[in-house]
Amino acid sequence: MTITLNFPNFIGLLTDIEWISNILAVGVALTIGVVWYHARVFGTVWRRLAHLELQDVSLKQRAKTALIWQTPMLFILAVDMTAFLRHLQWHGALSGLILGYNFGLFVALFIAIHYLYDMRPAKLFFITAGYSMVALSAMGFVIGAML
Amino acid sequence: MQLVGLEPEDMKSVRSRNAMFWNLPITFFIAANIAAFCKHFDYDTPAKAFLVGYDLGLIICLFLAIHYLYEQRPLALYGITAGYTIVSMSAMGLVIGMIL
Repeated sequence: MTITLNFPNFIGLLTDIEWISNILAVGVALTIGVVWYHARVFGTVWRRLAHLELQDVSLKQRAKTALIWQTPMLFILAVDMTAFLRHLQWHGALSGLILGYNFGLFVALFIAIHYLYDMRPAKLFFITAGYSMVALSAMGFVIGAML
Repeated sequence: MQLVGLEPEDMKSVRSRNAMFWNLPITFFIAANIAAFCKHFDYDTPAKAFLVGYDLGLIICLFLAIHYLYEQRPLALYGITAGYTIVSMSAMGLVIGMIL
């Protein structure tokens, strides 16, 4: 079996990515995360409910997780969301917001199922699912507005 | 059960029954949403609907990964949870595509 790499096709895929809007959407999701999980917003309650110590979620630790893991994951999500919007031929901020909200709903519903079986507190569910819904809606809004 | 810190007795509790009770309407709502996506895309074959389910499952798994990372939950637990999510979403898509 021979495997051939089609470089022009690969470059075409890369140039098809809406880099600016996707990077901006990732930035928006990260910013919402910083505010959402700030000690003065839901950070303290979240830490208590998730049984985490202050040193577990130090600024250095969070920054490392965000840079190494969260940013690429959010970027894949943004690219996927753009593909969905293109496939649906939806343009505009409102269309993006609706799609992002719908994605957020999927995430929240599945988190609900897992949290129910894990017997985790309802308050923790609302903090986690709330962030997912707000962040994904905002990402959709940004991508839709720039498409 | 071991990874989430639950005991066998917890499985017989009221909360466990509540989980089973709520699972059905939540899953129905997810299935209706997958069907709406398939109809919107004009995807009416099992293979295409399977792809929609798989892709939506992937989105859920990515966001779950972010939460699990920050909550510092075990990787094995993530594998079990995300695995169930991907498999069930893909299977739901497949079944919906067969019926559409």
